[in-house]
Amino acid sequence: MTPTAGAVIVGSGVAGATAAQTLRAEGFAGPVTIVGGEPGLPYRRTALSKDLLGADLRPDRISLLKPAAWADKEIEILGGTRVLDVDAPRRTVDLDDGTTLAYRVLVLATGGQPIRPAWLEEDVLALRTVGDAERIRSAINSSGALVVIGGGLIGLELAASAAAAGHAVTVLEAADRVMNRVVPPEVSEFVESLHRDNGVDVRCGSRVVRAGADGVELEDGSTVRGTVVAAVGMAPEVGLAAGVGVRVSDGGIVVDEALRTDVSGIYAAGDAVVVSDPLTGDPARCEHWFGALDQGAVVARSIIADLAGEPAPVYAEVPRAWTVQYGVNVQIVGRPTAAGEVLVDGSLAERSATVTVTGPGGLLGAVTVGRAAAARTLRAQIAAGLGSAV
Amino acid sequence: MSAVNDYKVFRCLQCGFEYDEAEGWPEEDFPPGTRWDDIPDDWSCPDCGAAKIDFEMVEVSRS
Repeated sequence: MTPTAGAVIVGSGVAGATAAQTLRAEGFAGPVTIVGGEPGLPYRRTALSKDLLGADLRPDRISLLKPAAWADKEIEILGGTRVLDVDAPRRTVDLDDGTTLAYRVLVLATGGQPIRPAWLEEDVLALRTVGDAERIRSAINSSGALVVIGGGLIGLELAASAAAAGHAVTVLEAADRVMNRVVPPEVSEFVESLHRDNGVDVRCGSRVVRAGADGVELEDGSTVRGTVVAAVGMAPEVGLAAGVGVRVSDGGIVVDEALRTDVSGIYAAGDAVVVSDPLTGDPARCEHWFGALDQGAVVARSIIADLAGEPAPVYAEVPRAWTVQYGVNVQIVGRPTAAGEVLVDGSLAERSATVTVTGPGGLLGAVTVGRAAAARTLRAQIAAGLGSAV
Repeated sequence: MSAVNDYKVFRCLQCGFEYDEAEGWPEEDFPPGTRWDDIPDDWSCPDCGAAKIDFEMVEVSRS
């Protein structure tokens, strides 16, 4: 370890960017460096899908902080740079620009990549980066038709944006309802009707046999033409972690309740990480903005505590995600797909409702429609039941 | 408290977060009563990180 060894953060998404800012806010003294594979400064990834056709994606509109603000905080950002190798015993990182950084602590915030099933041809677009967003937008604008594979949050946001812009839109969902991983059936039904009312052809139970850039073949022999976008989920980016000898499972990089990996001095946060769900005890990945934001702050506080030899705060994740489709704001907190009693307060049809899912031990999850402010309170309520602060 | 009535609410167009002048945002040291105009231009949405110009004023009824 050289005298200049500080914190090296791999990944410039919101987890990495928040970890760097929190380290500074909490008084970390050494250098703080973010190594990001994407060029440029950290940005709001959520801006890419929420209204892609109408979004202003210029750097000064989506950057998390202005360039001068990073300099003021003494956070160095190496964009468009990849980590080639990590030497954990020597605590050094080799970069693809030929330099070697010494670290005192290393944070793996490597995020994920869109899942690409075998039936997906190489030229099919998928959304992760601002570059992907620009390519998808340009392709839809020239074809005038969008075929989304996957009726999850990102797929439906793309569908809503394209439909609102006047394009022909088809959504192909393999399950029997949209957003099945994140909301109860009552909400799926509402969201599906919202899309149908806006002219979107939503086809649940669709089995894709082959997908190319301009069309999809289904198991029933039919084909759907248009710009194809695959939105079938993300896979955590664990290659670097595995190469260092950090423990990795099918779900992602394995961390403890303070977001430490099993290798001394190496921590991990964000989409690449698998944590234990405090509600169910099952392995869970956050995959949402708020989870990555929270984990970025938590990992920094764990580092500060560990360096000071003090107990690190325990992280108990209460998921929260939001989506805006056709101007309707939907907030999702906790685990509203867990088994429990579903209650609808208000009216989904009138786009003002709170849907709660309650188990024997209390509130498990909730979805608000048109009542964004209520989600914060509901999340705090779930967190209080777990004895943790959010 | 009739003076409350002229406080305004601003909503983030990206995520739905609402800033209520009457309540301020104590997490970032904006005490209750802090006017929207007095919030720095480089402030960003506490929830989603959107810029101040991504907010719009909303009409709310106070009981």
